[in-house]
Amino acid sequence: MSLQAKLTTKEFAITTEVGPLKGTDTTEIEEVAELLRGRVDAANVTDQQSSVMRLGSLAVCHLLKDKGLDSIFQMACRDRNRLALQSDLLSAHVLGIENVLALTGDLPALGDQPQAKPVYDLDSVQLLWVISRLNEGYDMVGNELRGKPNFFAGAVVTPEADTEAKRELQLIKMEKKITTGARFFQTQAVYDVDSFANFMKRVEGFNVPILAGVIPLKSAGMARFMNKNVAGVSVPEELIDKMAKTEDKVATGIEIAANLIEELRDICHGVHIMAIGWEKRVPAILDTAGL
Amino acid sequence: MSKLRQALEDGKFVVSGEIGPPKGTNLEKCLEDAERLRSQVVAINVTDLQSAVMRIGSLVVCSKLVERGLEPVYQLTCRDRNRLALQSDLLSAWALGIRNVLCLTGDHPILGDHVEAKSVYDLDSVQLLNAADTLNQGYDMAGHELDGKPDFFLGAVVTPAADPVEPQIIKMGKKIQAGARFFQTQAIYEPSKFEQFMNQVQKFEVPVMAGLVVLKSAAMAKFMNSNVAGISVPDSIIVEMGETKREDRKKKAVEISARIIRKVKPLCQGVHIMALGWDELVPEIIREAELD
Repeated sequence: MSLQAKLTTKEFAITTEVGPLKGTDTTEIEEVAELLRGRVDAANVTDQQSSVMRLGSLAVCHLLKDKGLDSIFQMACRDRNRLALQSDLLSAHVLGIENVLALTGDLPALGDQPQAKPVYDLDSVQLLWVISRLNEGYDMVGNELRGKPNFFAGAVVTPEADTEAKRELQLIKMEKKITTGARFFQTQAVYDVDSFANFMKRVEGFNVPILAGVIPLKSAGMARFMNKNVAGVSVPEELIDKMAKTEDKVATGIEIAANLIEELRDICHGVHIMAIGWEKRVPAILDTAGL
Repeated sequence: MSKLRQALEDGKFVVSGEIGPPKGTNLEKCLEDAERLRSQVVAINVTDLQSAVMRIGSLVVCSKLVERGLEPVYQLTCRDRNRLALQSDLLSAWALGIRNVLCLTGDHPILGDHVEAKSVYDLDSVQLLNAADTLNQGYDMAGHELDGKPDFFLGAVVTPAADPVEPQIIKMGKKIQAGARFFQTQAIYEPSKFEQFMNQVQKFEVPVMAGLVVLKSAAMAKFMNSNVAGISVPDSIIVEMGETKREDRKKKAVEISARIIRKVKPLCQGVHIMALGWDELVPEIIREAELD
């Protein structure tokens, strides 16, 4: 069943994420694909995440498809102008890719080649519009296409932005993204389920499926790092404590993630597990969560 | 191993062709054009958003050629992607089975159909060659080691009919230093001028494939003379085409193309035929030029 179909049935959807390596070696990704096939509905493939140069999302999405795992092609606006973005979207369709996640993308300055020129010819809202337009059979300037794609487009939202003003902004942006074509959302990591439930109430009227982000904790240090450095991520003290006190970090990390997933089951349409190196542990997390 | 590299190393006179991806997802015609070239050429260039017109990507069309057992030359320009995307797409190309890359700077967006597109040019063709060569050695541009490296056969372009030609020769030297191991030229119409050029670049000891754009009409020749840098169709050919009746134009196109190829054959290592829509003439051109 395609991701789009799954989200239409209102069954709880599960997506996860794979990050390509810096190189041509795809062994690891192929192994992860084998483990995840049948356990998740689709896997995002990141696009030069954190502005670090890596093997491309396009090629890896194609590889996953070959292995029987549905993919979500992440596309950032940072590195390509509108010609390349549209072109790569057409290419994605031909490679059998059905799902796209439109992102603006982290600044090159944050990555490992800071001199890279930031492009941002389009932003994520415009990219979503472009995807809709290509779906209709036209490029951005109105030329008719010879063969058109049919993408299921998604975007991101940050429910736990740290101020009310920022949260308002997230909602405004979310609405814009829906207007230009976003038909599903994946959120930044959620750790406070009550707060997330409030967010879900506020966006009920938008009528779009939302997959709550889950980042499994690996250590107390990781949690503190994210709190300090990752906008919109807020790990509560009690969870940091649990990680600090445990003798088996892996088991506790899995347990916390599974608990979160169980609690999120009733309030949103799915989860998006960003395992950040723990991709092979995703099946264990799902087992523990009873999925 | 790249078949193109092998053929050039074996000292064969190599013929390459070119296809342009469509503006859309329907690859039928494009792949038919490629198929028609199968037994005629060693490799097929796939252009990259040529003339800054939005089209489906060279990467995916090249991968389709690989699937069909054809040998693509992946054209990659610096116009639309920054260094992150360029290096990433090179890695992707290798993962998709592509072995030959032609590195270009790329026409300015103002020439295309999305004039507001931001021109990136984070790198130029020399830097792109260098980046690709560095990936071949197992490192990215910033010196980080790769998990799995490509081994591309890298190519670049040169314009023998440029006037003055010295800057082209200097740049050719730079491209070779940066990693270029074969060259395809802009279209040649004056074999004697080409001979002079080839004499000057002998010292580089890299294979050069003479470019040929199949002339469709006198008007096309005049247009190229006025608008395409580095192309110089002599009056004699323009007159010859002008005197040809419309129904004989294709025959004349084959005749002129074959004549030029026969003249440049002794001077270089191959020919790169750009048929621009008249791909069905390529087998005839090759036959008449006695390349088969």
